[in-house]
Amino acid sequence: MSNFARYNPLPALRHLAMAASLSLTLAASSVMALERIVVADGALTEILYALGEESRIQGVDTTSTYPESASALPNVGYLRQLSAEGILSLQPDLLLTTQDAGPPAVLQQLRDAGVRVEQLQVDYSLQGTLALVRQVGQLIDQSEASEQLAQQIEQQVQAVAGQLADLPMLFVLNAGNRGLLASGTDTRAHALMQLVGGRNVFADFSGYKPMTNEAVLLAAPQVVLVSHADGDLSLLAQHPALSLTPAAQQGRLYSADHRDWLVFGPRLADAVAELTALIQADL
Amino acid sequence: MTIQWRQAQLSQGLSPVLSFYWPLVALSLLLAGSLLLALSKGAIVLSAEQVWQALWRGPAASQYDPQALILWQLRLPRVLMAALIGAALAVSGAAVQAVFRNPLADPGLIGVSSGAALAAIIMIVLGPVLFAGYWGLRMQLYALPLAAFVGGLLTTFLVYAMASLGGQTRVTMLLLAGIAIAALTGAISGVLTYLADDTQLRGLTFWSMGSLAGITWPMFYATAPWLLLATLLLPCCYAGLNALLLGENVASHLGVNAQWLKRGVIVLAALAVGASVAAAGMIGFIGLVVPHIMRLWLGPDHQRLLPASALAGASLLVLADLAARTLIAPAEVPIGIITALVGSPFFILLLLQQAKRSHFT
Repeated sequence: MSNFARYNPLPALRHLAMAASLSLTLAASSVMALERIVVADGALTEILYALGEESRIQGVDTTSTYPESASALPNVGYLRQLSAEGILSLQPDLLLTTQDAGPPAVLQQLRDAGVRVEQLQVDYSLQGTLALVRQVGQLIDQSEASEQLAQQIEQQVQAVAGQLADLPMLFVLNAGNRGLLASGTDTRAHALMQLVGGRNVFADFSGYKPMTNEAVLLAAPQVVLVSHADGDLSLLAQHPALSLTPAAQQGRLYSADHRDWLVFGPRLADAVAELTALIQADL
Repeated sequence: MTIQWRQAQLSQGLSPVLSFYWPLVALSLLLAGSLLLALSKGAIVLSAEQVWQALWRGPAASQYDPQALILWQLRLPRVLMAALIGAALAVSGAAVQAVFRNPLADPGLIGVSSGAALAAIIMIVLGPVLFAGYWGLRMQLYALPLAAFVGGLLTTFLVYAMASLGGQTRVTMLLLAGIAIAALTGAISGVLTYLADDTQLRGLTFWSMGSLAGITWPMFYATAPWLLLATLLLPCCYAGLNALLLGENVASHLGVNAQWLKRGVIVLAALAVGASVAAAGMIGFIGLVVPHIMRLWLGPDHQRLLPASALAGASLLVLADLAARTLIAPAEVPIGIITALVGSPFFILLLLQQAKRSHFT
């Protein structure tokens, strides 16, 4: 086993890639660096597009839904359930993804086959998004462009952030007949609420947890954001706890579905501005 | 008269040995065909000629030949693992059904799946805490499968010990203990699922749907011996299992040591299911339904039923994995979904046909 567990089949894979174009030979393969990228994360895909490097993308994952032209690319599936042969069939130099990608054994298979696998650490915040943009830029040798993009995102976000001074907000996932799951800290939803200047009413636990009706009443959120409700909030407005909150009584129940509020990519400022405007119109 | 004469002529024409074994020959051919098909198809399109050349060049060629790399490092371990897991799950299912004298029994009944699942959930949710600092890629690659294997065996031992308190293993007690332990592990799993964060929850979901995507040679070598043990040894117990169909008392009058038989079958099935869960997560349907289909076709004689189940289970899982790899390539479908989605309607159809012919009373 060990004699072929560690080897470098890169030249061989390249050979396959270039079987059609014989003009590109040895000289080209030593220069060619990360020209073919499979990207498995929606925010990373958007960053590559924003840097104008979309021509390098050979495949995307199911979370890469923006821009629309990304969904025309070959889809390698869900980023936690990748397939080695499927990705190899796109002959990538680089698999660009986050710490969420898996299964670990498949990532190892890809490394063994000579594909560079980069799992970037994602921190859902403005600083985290900027760091992600810079990391991608360094990886694909576009540090200058990425620095510009990061500064642009930072300015845009800072211009619109923090306008809802300390407004008590609640973010819930609709879990069907199993009720509602409220967002605590360490979630994208929490980060978004902080960015618009709101105060997450359930900041005393982390992750998503089922909430008791009484705790919701006590928290008295002024704004409720709902995800996974398929846009239909009329049923939720009659929920025993939600219906009695200031948010429901003053009509500040918003659906977070079909919006890219939680992507934390180059369009972060748009998300913050859109949500802020929506809420301010009803205040 | 003529019909009887025809039948006599037929059984004379086909030698008794051949007429007994032809289903096994047919299933072996099916398995061979499935293996070849699965090796030649995938997200990367290779011609039959390229497949043969790559296989012929051997594993060492994967250093310079991308086709050899795909075949020897990605497809071959995966296809062989699918065949072995399918065979072991199906043959374990058939044997466990005989021991329980219940066609609805599946290997999960002896607690091995629920125990393995609990251990896996513990590793996914608490692993980063328990092994803080050491919890890297290596740990995830090997600690989770190992924990699932050990957890499955421990739970089976617990179930078996509960059922054997009076010195003799009672099947009813085994069944009830299995259900009780499954409920308990399910409850603990529920607590851990509640504690899990978003990432871990998704990890759990995908683990429970099963997949052969991560099979590498080291994983194959680690699990294949346990699977082979069950696949090869269980069919040798056919005489005892046949006798057991008549009831434990009759079996012991026929000279079968029912206690040892039960113990042997449970140990082998637990090893096989534990190893398969460790390698590929939860793959349902095969252990329950493949033996059942074979029994409807070939009858209850375990001399044919056990090897036929092994061969059919192997073919089914190899083909299901082929579908998983190719249906929406370059993405993949979890294999548990395919086995259940394709197998269950087929099974229901068979049951309805049998009911029409009033085989069940």
